[in-house]
Amino acid sequence: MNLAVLSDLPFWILIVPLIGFFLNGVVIPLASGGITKTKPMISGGIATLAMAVSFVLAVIAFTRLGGESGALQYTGFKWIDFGNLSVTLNLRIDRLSSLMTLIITGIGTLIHFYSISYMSHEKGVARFFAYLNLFCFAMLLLVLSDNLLFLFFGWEGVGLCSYLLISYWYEEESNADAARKAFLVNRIGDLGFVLGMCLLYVQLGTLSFTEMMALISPTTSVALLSLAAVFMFFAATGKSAQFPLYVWLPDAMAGPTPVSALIHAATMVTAGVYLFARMYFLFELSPELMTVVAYTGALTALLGGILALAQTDIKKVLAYSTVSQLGFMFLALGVGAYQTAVFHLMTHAFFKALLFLGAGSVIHGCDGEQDMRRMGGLAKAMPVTYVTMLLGSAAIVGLPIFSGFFSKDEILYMALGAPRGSWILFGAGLLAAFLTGVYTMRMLTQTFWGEAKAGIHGHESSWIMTLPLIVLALLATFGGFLGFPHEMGHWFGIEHSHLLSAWLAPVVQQVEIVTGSSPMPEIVVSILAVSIAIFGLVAGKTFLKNISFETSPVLKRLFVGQHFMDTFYSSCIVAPLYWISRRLVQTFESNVMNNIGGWIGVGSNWSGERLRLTQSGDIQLSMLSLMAGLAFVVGILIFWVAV
Amino acid sequence: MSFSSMFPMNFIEGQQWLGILPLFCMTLTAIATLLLSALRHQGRAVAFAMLLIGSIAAVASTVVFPFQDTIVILDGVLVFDRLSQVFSAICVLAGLAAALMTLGFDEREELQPEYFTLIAFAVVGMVAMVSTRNLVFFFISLELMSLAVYVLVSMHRQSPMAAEAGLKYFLLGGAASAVLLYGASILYGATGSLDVTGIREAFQSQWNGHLPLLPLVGLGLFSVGFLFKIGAFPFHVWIPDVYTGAATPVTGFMISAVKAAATGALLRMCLELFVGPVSTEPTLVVIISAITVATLLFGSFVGVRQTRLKRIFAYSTIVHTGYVLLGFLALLGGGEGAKDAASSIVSYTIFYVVMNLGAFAVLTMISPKDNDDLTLDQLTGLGRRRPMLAFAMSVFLLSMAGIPPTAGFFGKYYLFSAALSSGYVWLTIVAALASVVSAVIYLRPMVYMYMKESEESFQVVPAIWLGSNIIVVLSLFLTVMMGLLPAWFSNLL
Repeated sequence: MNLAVLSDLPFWILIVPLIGFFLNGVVIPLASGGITKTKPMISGGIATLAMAVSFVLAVIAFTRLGGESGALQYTGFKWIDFGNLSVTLNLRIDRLSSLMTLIITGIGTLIHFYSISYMSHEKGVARFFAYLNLFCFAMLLLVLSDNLLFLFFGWEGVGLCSYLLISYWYEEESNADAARKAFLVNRIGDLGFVLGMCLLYVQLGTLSFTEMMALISPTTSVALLSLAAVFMFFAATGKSAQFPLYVWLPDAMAGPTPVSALIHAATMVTAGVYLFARMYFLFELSPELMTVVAYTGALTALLGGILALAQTDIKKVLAYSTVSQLGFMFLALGVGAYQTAVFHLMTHAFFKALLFLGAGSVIHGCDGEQDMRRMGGLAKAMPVTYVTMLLGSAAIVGLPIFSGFFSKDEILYMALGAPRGSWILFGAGLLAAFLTGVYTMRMLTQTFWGEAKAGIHGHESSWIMTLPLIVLALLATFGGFLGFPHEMGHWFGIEHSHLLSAWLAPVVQQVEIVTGSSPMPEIVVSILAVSIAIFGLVAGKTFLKNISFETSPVLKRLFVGQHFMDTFYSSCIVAPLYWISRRLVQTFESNVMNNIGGWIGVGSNWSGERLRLTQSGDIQLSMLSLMAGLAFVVGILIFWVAV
Repeated sequence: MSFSSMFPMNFIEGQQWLGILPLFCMTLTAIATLLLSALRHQGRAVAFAMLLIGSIAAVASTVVFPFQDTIVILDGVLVFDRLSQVFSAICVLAGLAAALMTLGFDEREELQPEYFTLIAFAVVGMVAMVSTRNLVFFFISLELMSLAVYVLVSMHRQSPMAAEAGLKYFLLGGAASAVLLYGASILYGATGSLDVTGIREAFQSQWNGHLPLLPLVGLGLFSVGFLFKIGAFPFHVWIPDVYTGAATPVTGFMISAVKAAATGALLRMCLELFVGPVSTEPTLVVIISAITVATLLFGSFVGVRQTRLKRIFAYSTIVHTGYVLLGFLALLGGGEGAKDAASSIVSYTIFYVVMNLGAFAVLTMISPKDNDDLTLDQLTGLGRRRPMLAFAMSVFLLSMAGIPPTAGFFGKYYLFSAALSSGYVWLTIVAALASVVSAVIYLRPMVYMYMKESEESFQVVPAIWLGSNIIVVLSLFLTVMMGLLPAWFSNLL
């Protein structure tokens, strides 16, 4: 096959969702006479088709990469070319971006498909699908770019689309507020990205990953590069919802549920993890920073788990659970286990997208009810949703053979055995795994088991919604075998059992644990983790089933609703800023700046009025001005030469 | 008897025909439209069709046969290179666009069909102007262009202001032409050559770059002619009155095509005559710097107070002249920025022409009958009544103000960075300040379009003309595209 599409694969993978965006954003609304008259089947069909085409192309790219460890390149157009500044859009698919592309387009296709039914009651659904396609374009740009600048465009693009989609139901003010909060918190992180990018450009003179990698060797010791790494980490904490910038993610649940599944679970929030994996050579320059990253991840994992316990909204539980799982990924990054982090990124994308879509199905079946306290006994009414959710829960808790088991145990093992690992990190990870079991069980119990509550009956969703659930359930169940641990692989006589690690090895490094250097062998870690998780499940079922955080005012203040980080931000940052700006308005602005503005305004108005008179339209005056100018020119010339 | 013995045109041969093709097409078009516009019934339509075909042929010839080397005919009377090709294409397309946006307007305002003929003749003059090294031929082509434009200005016979504007433009333009011709003759007297290359060689060989008074004054007078055409302070005096008096599409033609032609010719003169020995003369740099500063400040400060739309654009074009002059200064300064300066002037001219044509196509559609001197108040509520039109106008205005991601941002960025790398730090700061002040000029119409309300009776009802709509859509597309892909337009020379 010698089609043009196949020779420029990176370009077409990227551009097809953009075409979908254009069709849904411009063509369909024009054709159907206004965006409110667009049909979900047509708009959703086009959007899903765009993602499916992109997915097929991504699979082709994946198979091409299978043979060698090189990369598919695409040299795009020159964006700016002036003087010594030249910026070109270059795309590059190597093994890491290929994996990310598969996750984005594959899960993206499923979620687009699911949305056709989920959004079928909405008016003007073309807007939703246009945003969703645009998001996928931006996310693909983020992972396909071969340089930091276009990665940044993608980074900003996903932020914008996240903002647009969180506030999709913008008539409600709380949704618009949530979107604004997400956008602002992300912007704070983005400041770090810009600073880091500028520092890198000043230091290295390039932003291309391959060139930067060649310039940075482990022996380079440049303080400014470490500073750039710190800035980049700060950017990642914003986008990937790490402590202390995680506050936006729970609020982001105001958007439609498919959005939460795609953006706030599977793809966008993992951009920070991707950034670390892509630029591990930079981050490895400063082990101190990476230790901080590991502890931040551990803290986030614990915090997310604790806060998830207290939620009554089914989506909020999943949101804090995402925060917690992202914490696990950062824990892995921090100890240098980049491949493990990407592995958990992948399995998390499977099971968390599944859980969110399942939650969406529940909400859809209960006519928009999100409060778990009012649900119950839905297992009978929604069998497919129930079974798939059960599988997803098994995966997130980490029961054996389910995908989360492999990735989470690998993280725990790395947290203990890696050179930067420690008992504290390991303990925190174990505790977070315990909490995962508790909150998952609590969610299942309240939603599916027990007595049906009055008023909420629930009904199974249509096949359009259940089909993606089934596919994702299969992935969440069996996806973990891509990362079968080496140690156990040896028992079965398989040489390279960890397929994902072997796949990523040429592009992403991983710390090696020398056999025997770890305090515990991997199998012991696994057994420990599984027993802890099961203990958590039991705890969730028996002790915490009916615990209510509403009863104790202290607990309520800490965990529910306006929790302490929000309070901290508003009292320590927002309030002082308001205070300063009020002072400034009262003193500086009203006394000085207003007057300066007034003076300038009066000045330019005054002079404008006067100068205007010179343009009276009188031809003699015009000619006089012409001759005066001439006299000026010739006069200066004569004067200059004569003197 | 063969053709070549009847018409011995052996002074043009081979590849030279390719070079002369655009000029040839436009000349034929001008003559044909002159004859065809006399047709009793369909004169207007036929003349326009003829202009359309001729213009497309002329542009196609520059696109199909792009050449890197220079083709010289008759010792430099005609010179064809990338510069003349690019600027010829700009002028021809701008002329065509002006003709397109007149469709509909000309019937309502009863413009004569010779309108298209005059545009064609003016374009012939422009194409010749940017492709010559000979001062006499330059003067002839300048006059060819100017005479056609004088008549175009006063063609709008319903409006009393048009006749006045035409007369004013003619008198002032005549004076400027006289100054330019005087300068050319002094240069001839001092060096014995009418050819730019010859003059430059004489500068080198006779005075070794340090010019005495006579050729310096000659150069000064010659430049004043140019400064008049591009509208630099204090030679801008004609611009507000003439732009206001002329019919809206004619103003659009002048603000785009005439300005581009003058810029192109000045660029050629700068590259082939000024750069090198002459540019080391500090006098010229001082004079041009002073004129640049005055132009920037005057244009932006006076523009802020205008209440009539065509005057607003008139002052806006004066500010833009200031920016271009900054580019020319960078060109004269030599050094690092010089090689970027030429391409920055070219791309800026293209961006400028596109956004002004778009804005004037919008203005043409919203201009009231018989008196197309729109005020800001008449814009009120346009954002509600015609959202697409108001949106397009806003994009053009933002582009003129230099807001990314529109063409205007990169145009200004290129010019400023060229000036900075040539060392004109203070001038660039002045230009940046002027662009801040002039942002008010562009934001005010937007305020009126979207944020103010007035009585229905006061508002204009926009016409729906196909030609103007085409220009609006095309310009809108180009303005955004040039902002997104500026690299495609930055290395045309």
